[in-house]
Amino acid sequence: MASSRHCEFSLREADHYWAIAYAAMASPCEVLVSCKTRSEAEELASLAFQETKRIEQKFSRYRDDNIIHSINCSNGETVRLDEETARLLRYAGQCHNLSDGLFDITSGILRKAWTFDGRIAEPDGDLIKSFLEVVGWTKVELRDSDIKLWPGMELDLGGIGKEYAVDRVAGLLSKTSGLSLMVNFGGDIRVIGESKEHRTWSIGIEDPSKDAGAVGVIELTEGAVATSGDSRRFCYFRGIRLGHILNPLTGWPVTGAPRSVTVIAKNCTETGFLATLAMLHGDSAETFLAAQDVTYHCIR
Amino acid sequence: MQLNSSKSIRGALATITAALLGANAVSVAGQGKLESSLLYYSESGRVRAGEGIVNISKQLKGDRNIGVKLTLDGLTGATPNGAVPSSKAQTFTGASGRTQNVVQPGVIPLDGSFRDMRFAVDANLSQPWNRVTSSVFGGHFSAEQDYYSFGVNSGITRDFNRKNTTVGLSGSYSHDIVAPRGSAPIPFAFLPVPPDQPPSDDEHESGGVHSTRPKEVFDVVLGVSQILDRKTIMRLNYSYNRTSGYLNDPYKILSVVNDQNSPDAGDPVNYIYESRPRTAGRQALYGQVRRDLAGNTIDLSYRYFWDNWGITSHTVDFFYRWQLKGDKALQPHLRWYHQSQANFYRPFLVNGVAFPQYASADVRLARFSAVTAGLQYSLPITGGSRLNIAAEYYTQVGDRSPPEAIGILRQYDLFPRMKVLMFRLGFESGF
Repeated sequence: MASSRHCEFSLREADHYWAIAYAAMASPCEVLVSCKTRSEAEELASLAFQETKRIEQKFSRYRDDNIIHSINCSNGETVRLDEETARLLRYAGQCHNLSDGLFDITSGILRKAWTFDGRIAEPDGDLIKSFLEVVGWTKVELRDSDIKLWPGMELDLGGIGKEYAVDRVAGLLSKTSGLSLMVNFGGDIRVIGESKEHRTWSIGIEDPSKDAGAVGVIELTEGAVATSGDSRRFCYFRGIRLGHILNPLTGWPVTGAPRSVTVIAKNCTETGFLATLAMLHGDSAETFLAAQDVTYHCIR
Repeated sequence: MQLNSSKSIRGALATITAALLGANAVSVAGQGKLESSLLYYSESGRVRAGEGIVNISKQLKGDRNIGVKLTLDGLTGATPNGAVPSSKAQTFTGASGRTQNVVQPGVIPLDGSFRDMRFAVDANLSQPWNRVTSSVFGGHFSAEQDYYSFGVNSGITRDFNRKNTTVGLSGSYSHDIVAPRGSAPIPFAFLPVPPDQPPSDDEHESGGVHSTRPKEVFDVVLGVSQILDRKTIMRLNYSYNRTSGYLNDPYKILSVVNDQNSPDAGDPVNYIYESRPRTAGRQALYGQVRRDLAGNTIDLSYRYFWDNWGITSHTVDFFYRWQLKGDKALQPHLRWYHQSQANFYRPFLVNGVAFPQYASADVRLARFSAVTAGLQYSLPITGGSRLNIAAEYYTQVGDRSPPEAIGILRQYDLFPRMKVLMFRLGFESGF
């Protein structure tokens, strides 16, 4: 193992591939690519790192210099959108439709009413009601290249951004190198295979009730894996364990959801959305997934 | 709200996800692109031309890209033949030797109405060698009634600085054949003036023995493109061109006029074919900046050109792409051009004065300024295709009364203003 001279990422040579690692989007980011030389790995690492950072900087809600900040501080004014942002928001709106309102990027503000630190919660019903006033994608006016929100509304692309970044980085690296590769940002995974190589990547699924060790292994040559779960962020209310996934229609955490949902599908964006939406379906998460014709694992 | 958990959304989700990820950067191997356009060109009172272009490019396995472009154009009308107006009617024999063209007094002579068709095919194959280096090879062939061109080209580009900088070097060589209607005239050969008899079936008397003449064209371009920030790209190019062989325009002539002291000062004594050097060396520096302004694009470029014939020119080109609702776009375009004259440009020669080594009255070698103003509207049509509709107006202004004009020529417009209208209809589509 040798560490790279670049400080942003580290490189490690493994059996028939190179592993690139860096931290971004509040997750450990790992890229495994079947290149042969360090210089090749370095070049791809720098490409992956730059694209990840670009997306993080552009769509993070924790920055005050990006489009999300401009939108969230627009106070009812119309904001011009670049092509990529408009595309991403259009997609978020379509997800809202497909999910009958369960998936809503305007619902992030509801988190301010909850603390998911494993202790007993004391939710303030009035506060939740006041937050619900400024939640709801139907209140958003999105046009071709501009957007208008009600004053006080906020967008949070947390439910899309990381998955989108995984697919973008995987697509970019595949197009550049033509090699088999796996991109894994904190459990959101995309695998792209080069037909000549027949490389299979093994992905472990962890049990949220255990601290370490995989309970299952998925072998992938092409596709995506995403996991949604409440293993680390939850609270108790009247003796019931509540996971951190909030229903934007009620402002309350979803009840009866599995501890963890893992979905395997084509790309990470689609897969991540299905896993999140399954959690939002609570009790009927499995029914929902079964209707989607995808491979999934639910841990209850 | 009652949730329907057994509803399948997978198909709709695949569609919207593809729309999100499908756009740029994500693997597009196997995609092809078809561009076609129709152009109509109308020069007031002179030339009308139509052109059709089909350009097909397709991405092959391994990121190779192949492109084939077919062009067909047709031209009809007349251009100035280089002679100056006269106080008397002037008669010119057509290049074929079979037609005569009578030009009224005071009118700038145009060569007899002609028609020509040109067919051209260009093909190129680009091939990436690794992630930072790629090359392109190509060839072209074009044919028209009096001109043939065969060429090859090749180039290499390399990315540096994490793909923020791209350096490219390309070269091309073309072997052309000039096959003038009639034959290639000998420089400074006299035309029969005035032809008192109807022209015979023989070629005009200046006709040389060679009916075709070769021309070699060699080009090198060195370019750098640099991403300045996420919204701005800059390009710089240096180009060198060397052309040798038969560089005369076989249809351009000069009037040899009576000198200052003659009673008929400025009226033609006879006409001669033009004579240009047999080589030309041309160089140009080009700079372009393109910037994205919240979805709109601004593009500004400047080109400085100089050659060893004494021409220097400046071109400033500007366009703004204004993105409208519904993926439509409006693109105003402005270009300004100015050139100095070639050192052998002579609007006419004077009888009794020794001829210079070279002389041409071709207005394209004169000092002039030109302005182009245009507007393009582009809109999406079914299935991801786009339609572009553009109109451009071009006007060229030169020296209407050059200081060297003598006698009667002082009264005439020696550089009539040129006005051109162009319409273009373009279609692009993926397949």
